[in-house]
Amino acid sequence: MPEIRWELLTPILIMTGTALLALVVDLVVRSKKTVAGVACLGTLAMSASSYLLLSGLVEPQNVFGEMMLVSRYSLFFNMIFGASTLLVILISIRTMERAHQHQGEYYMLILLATVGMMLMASANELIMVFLGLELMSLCLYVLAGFFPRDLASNEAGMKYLLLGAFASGLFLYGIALIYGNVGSTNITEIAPQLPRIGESPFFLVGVVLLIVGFGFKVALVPFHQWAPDVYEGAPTPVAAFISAGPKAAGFAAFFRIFADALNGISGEWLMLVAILAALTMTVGNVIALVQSNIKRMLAYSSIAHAGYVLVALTAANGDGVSSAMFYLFVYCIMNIGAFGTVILAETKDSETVQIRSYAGIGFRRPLLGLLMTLFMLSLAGFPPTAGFIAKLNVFKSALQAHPQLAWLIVLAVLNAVVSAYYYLRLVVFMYMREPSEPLRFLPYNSWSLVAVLLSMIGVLLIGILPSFLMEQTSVQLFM
Amino acid sequence: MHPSLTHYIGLSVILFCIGIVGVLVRRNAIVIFMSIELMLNAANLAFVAFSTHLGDTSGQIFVFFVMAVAAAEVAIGLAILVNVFNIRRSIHVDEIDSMKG
Repeated sequence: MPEIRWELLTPILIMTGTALLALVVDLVVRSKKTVAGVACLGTLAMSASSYLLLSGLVEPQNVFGEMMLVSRYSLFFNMIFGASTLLVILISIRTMERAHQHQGEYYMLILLATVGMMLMASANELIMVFLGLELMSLCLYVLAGFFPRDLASNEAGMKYLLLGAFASGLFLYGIALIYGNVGSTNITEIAPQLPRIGESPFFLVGVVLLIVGFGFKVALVPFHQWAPDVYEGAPTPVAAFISAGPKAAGFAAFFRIFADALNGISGEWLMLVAILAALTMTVGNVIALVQSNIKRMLAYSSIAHAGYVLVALTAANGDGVSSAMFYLFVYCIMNIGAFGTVILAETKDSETVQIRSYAGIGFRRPLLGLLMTLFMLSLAGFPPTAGFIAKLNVFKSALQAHPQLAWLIVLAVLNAVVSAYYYLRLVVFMYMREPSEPLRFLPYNSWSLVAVLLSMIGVLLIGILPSFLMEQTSVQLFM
Repeated sequence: MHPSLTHYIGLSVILFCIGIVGVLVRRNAIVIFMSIELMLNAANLAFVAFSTHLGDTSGQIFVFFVMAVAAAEVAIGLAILVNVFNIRRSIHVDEIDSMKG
């Protein structure tokens, strides 16, 4: 009997325990804020235990009979998930109170999806990647369609379900083909076998299917069609959640498999990934230019951001992985911040989702205007925000690793310039246009405000003092 | 004649392709969902065939996990589809297009 090292599993155990506890607490207490509180505390405890393990851990450790690999890499991703889940829970409280129904289940689904993400990031077996992916996705399908009487939410749930399940099917078949060639589903056993099987067409088809499966999950062009509809239709906190953690989790497993296990045949997939990155950035940014709904605009913007992260994968070395980890952390915080600001801008009747309804907010709601401006600057990558440092790191690492891919970096920089147009357009609307009808905003909801302020502090702090976070992301290949 | 690995994998590839084509051309959400299940089961068949061929049991264990996951997916999927049908009286995916852009 191999010994199970429970201490290495504490983050996942805490998260699972919290999810179950939230379900029980929901049954016994009347005030649903308690459930949110339990979920917040559990998430904080998970992040703290991940941080403690991270600062003590030197060598990656196998747990559960090599099913999982607890490493600096996986623990750092746990912290990304912890931060984004915490922020999402805070911005959900108001929306869920208004909805009146199934609040306890909502928090439990968020927490279980987070467990799935953590399993993906620490998986050392393709089985674990698949199970983590499904645990996460199944929760997200339900969350996207969480308001059953709402047409758009329902439609979002259905579209996400059909395309997500299709992607899982492709992904699973890719795993089957790789298993047939490698003879094992263990990720660490793929690399030594590459000289023998690297040229086998079945194996390469399996690799391409994995790319397609991940492509759907992290919304790369041309597998992105679901994203705008799901973001627009899903409840806004859920859209924030889907845009952040699951994308980071998808990339965690993507990088783990490609930059580590399949690094030996990077010649075979590098060009494909570079083209996907170029397409994703360009299409995402160009379509975002013409959006009039802010949730759709943020959806296309998040597609473009996935393209930037993919640029880091072309580096396929320690620097590339570190820069992607940094980027994903920053991206999650600022994107949830932007969605949180959309929630803060809600009026008496509905959410403010049309970009033209933001006209005049800047002077009438100074704090809201300032926060939104800051998140837009960070998403566009202006200094001194964190978005700038994150982009710089990614581009630098990719350029150093493959100077022949300079065209990709040039394209990425051009894309960042294009994206500034639609991010700043919102700022122009807020400060330089007059509203066509009087603004009837609700007073700020304190929980959402706390979450948005926390993410703003994060964005500024990381932007001005990036060295602390960079130390945490420095990983050897692999991890 | 005993069927060999090639036969099993050939069948699995055919099932998988039928599944993909079904997802891409059929417009009824339930039929799309059935096609997805076909893809998952094609993968299961490939796992079992490879597992027997390699003399390694982990592929067969994988199949159990996949079956459990597929069952959960069906439970959630049908619940969502029934809900969509209750509201719209249709699960034809071409008619469910309230969001554009």
